[in-house]
Amino acid sequence: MIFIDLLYIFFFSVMIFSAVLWGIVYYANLDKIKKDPPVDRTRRVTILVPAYNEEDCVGETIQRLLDIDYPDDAYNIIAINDGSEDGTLEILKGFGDQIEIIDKKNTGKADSMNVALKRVDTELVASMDADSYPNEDFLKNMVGYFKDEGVSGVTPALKLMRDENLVEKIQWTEYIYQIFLRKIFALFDVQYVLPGPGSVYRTDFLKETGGWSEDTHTEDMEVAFRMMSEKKKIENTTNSVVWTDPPSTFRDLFKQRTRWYRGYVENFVKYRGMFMDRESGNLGVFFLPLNAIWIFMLVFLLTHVTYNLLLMGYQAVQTYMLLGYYPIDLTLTLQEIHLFHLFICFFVLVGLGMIFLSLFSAGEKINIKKRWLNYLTFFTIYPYMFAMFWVATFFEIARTRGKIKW
Amino acid sequence: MVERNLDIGTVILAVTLTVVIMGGIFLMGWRLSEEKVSDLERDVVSFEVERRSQEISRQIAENLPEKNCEALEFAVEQTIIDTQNLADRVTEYEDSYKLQNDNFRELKKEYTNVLLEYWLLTEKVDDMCNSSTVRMLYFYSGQNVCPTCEDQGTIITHYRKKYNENLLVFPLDMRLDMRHLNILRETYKIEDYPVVVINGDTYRGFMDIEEMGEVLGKYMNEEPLNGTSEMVEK
Repeated sequence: MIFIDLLYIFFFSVMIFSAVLWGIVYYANLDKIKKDPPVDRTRRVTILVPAYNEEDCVGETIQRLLDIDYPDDAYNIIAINDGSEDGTLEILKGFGDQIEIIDKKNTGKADSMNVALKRVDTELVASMDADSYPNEDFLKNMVGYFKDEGVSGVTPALKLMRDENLVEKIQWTEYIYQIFLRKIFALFDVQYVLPGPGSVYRTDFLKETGGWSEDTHTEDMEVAFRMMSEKKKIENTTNSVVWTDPPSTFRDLFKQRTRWYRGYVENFVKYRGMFMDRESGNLGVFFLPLNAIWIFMLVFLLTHVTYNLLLMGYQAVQTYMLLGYYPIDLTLTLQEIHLFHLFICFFVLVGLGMIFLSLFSAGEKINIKKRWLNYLTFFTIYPYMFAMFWVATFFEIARTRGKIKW
Repeated sequence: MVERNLDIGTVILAVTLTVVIMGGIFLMGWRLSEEKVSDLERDVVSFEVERRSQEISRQIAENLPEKNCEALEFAVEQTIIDTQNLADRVTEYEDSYKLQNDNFRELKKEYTNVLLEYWLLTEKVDDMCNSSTVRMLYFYSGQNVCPTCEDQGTIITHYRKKYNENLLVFPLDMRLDMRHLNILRETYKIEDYPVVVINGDTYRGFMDIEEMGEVLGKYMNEEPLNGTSEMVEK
């Protein structure tokens, strides 16, 4: 075997290990996947809705929040108009005294949340992006986790509002898969992000540790890393669904993902002390190293697959130039099948298994007729895009020499 | 504050299962490799039986009061197709090579033996019956020693398919350490690759599609070709 084959074998073993690990965690906690702790007592919650030029969607978000199934006197909504230049403020004012409004200059999401946090006097605080909204039972499924004093955050299940074009279809399966993964990560105690749409926090933790960080691209990831480093737990429910508005163009998706991945790198660097730190538990010793290998692996695979495709193209052109035509042979003989084909067959089976578990965790049906393109693009285009976004992120970090602004 | 424990048991179980799964896939890969080599072995044995039958046919024909060249040539032509198919399968195995299989190396030597025996047989039949079949010995080596051998192989395959049973190609991998290959190397004074020997005439160095078309055209009793594959076909 040549070196590149050995490297592939290593990558295959990492993939199998990851799949097996998540499979074991899933199987060992089968009874917890769809079950949340009962609500021991009504906990007061403040829901923060930062909005910047969100006139198209903020009205529906606020209305949905007003409609959730939770005692009216146990939750309140603070909407923060972050210097919007459109009709956002007027729409918010339309809700009268049902919500509290903070109108301020544009200073960004994290600062807006921190301004609002100063007014919060409830035990829990939730964040909700203005372009997202929850199901009615959103809070009921989440607050029970806070009976455990060690829990400082709970994440919901995020789903896309629509999957109409190709970019949205690719993300649809990814979000469903993330519902499964996030639950597994919570059970394995390695959640490293509290998504902006719908995460619930213990207010004291946020106030004591400085609220949301303003010096990162992903304040929701920073707060999760902080919680983990402060020896707090982050739980997850697959039953509280929050619907979010996905990027609909490749350009917007690219911007979103490079921001997220850059935020991951920033927080990885900021909390590098957790790396291989036994005190940080599974996150530090197993997950962060495994994630680093995965990122390297996907970037390498992207590069190598691209190289091979170019090489194949070059060889095809060369053959055409040699012969004056390109001989096409679509037959597959026994002699052409080799070890790597067996691995690929195995990964296809594992991938299908993962999707089935994800759909179950997300309470979705397979619906092949409607969603075949969602699944197909997830297995074909998505890994390539994922790796490409990481490559772009590293280039951007190198270009800006690690500065936050870009 | 929560006390964070490592789920070492879970990770060890995952590592164990990973090793078992990897082992299982490698075992299947090894079995697959064995099956592929066995499949080639069966072909080589079958080819060897065929060659011996022809050798016997040749001896019989030689000793008969009247030579039956037509029947002998027909038998040889039937085997040509088998030879080319076997060569294709050996190439496919080499292209998909991932796991070391010592049996294959031995099998390839055996295949080379049978191939050369068959070449000798066709030489004798040609002497005896003045056959019209064109015989090509193609000497090649690995990419490091011979960067153009792959392209040369592509061009030879092209003509082999064009001429079917009229062109008999014997590809010889000179990386194999075999005594008779060394004899041929010395006989034809081979120092660089690729080299082709067509009906005893030696051509050194890479030949593009036009050059090879022209050369083969002479042996096929055709007008010299001007190079395009369409013209070879005529």
